[in-house]
Amino acid sequence: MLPLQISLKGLTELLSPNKRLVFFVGGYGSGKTEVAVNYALHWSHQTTDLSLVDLDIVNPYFRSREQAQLVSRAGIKVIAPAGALATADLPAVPPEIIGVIQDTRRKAVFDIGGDETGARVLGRFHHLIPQHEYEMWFVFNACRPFSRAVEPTVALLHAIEKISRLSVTGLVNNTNLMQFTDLSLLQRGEAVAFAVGEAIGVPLVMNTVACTLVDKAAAQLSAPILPLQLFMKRPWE
Amino acid sequence: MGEKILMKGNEAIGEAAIRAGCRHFFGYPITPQNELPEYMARRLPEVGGVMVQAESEIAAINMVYGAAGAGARVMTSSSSPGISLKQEGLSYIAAAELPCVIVNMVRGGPGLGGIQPAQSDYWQATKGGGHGDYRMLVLAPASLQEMVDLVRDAFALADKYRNPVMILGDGMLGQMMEPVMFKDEEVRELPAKEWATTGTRNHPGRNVINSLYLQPDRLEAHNEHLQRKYAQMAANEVRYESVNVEDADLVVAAFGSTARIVRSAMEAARQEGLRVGLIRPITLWPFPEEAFQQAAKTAKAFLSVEMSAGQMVEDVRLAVNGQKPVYFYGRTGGMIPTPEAVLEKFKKILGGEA
Repeated sequence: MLPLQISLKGLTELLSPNKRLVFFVGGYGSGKTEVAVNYALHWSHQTTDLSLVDLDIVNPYFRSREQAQLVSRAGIKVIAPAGALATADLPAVPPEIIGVIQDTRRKAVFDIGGDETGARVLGRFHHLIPQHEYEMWFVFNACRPFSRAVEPTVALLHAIEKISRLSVTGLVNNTNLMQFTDLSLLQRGEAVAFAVGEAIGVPLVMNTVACTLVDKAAAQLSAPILPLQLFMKRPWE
Repeated sequence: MGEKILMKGNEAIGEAAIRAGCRHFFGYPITPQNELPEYMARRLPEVGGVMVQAESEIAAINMVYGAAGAGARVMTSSSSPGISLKQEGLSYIAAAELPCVIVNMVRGGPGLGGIQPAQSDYWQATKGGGHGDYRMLVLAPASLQEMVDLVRDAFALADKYRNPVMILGDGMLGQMMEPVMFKDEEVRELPAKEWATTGTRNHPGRNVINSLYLQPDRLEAHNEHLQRKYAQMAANEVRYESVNVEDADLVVAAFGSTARIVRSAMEAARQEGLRVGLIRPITLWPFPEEAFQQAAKTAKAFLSVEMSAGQMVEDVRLAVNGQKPVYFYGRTGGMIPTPEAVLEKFKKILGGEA
């Protein structure tokens, strides 16, 4: 369903993670949901038994459960609070999550709520998560008020690691200003990402770039690019 | 700072308030506006300000009364049920003529309702949700950039009239993200407030902040003074945006995020050759009556689109004053009108089926 005419360097490897559980964590409003939904859709072309787990229990709107229909059509199982709980902002965690974590045949993308507050929910599962079976990717957008420099970004990353009791294994540069994103902004974001990566010894696993900009960005950015289709639309769009 | 940053509506209000010189915030959590107190809790200590999470909304609004009375630039925020709790305090603040800014990120009601967006607090905001004859200036932004600009204006207007100013948003505006720019210089010096409890440097005696007048003639005189002030506000502060009204057969009234939905529908209608225009009140009080009176001379019909069961439509009817039919389309409970359904309503009205 994602029209990808161009072959992007590193994308195949990116979509064949060595680990079967991929957690997207990061700052509040850094774009984890959009990234998680896109990553799951891309990954679904190369794998089976994939689930998308909406573990966002801090955000009241714009959550991945709103894309359940679209994601289900791609053969991905959506795990999120159902019924009346779906539109609540309650710490409701569906029990099926444990099955996904423990069944070694299954793969899953986890969309975790923002900041350390949102990542707290992972701590409840950390004893079930085998060290060698997960990636925890930290999504950040250098245009967000508290992620514009290296120092606060690193501080947030450490806070998320501490509360989730898991380790960040990669960075996702999702720097964007929505429709005002341009190449120089993407490059600035990648530069911040490399600096953050250097500070903590974690690789930049991908840049996320809107489909419309992918062609131009491919020549300018060094890390692999995940093309993004934007699903989280506002009612007038 | 001329750089664009990507913010949630609630965060953008917080930053705009700080840049407008607000150093005091008192609040109590409620969805969907929590990012605002969270932002203030994080940022205010960095700039020498104070954020207090009060024990309730009632306590918070009374802390606003105290801070405003002491001359501070102060803000509180909440969402519908919490704003209901603040009504007594708002009436006291209006009576004591205290400048402050109150943010309401409206959610579906009545009662506890839900946490999805709504505009059903229009009456409460514009008609005086508390007791007595009082008015608040009510500003309704439709984008995050406008929200940032209006927050700054809100503090200036509050000081100018010594009156509470409300920013009436909805959960959608609070939760969504858009790039914003803080164009204006940061406010570092607040205007002198000689009426405040702290404003006695240049005159002897004390300043008393009070809303109690036991002698009826004194209270009536105070009311007359307030009414003169409200008349000034009504004469000077009306703001609205008008699009495609000149040649429109159908003029639509919508505010806040609903106006953006109507705009999408209007553009689609124009593509099909339907002459639809939009009047978007930016001040809900004072209401832009004159814009509607003017439009009533040329338009064939009016429509109010709201996320409510029909509240602003009454002000549109008062302004149009029976000259042309006024229709209504709304969704409630946190449901959001779609541009398609709004376009359908245009067609029905213009086709004579409504």
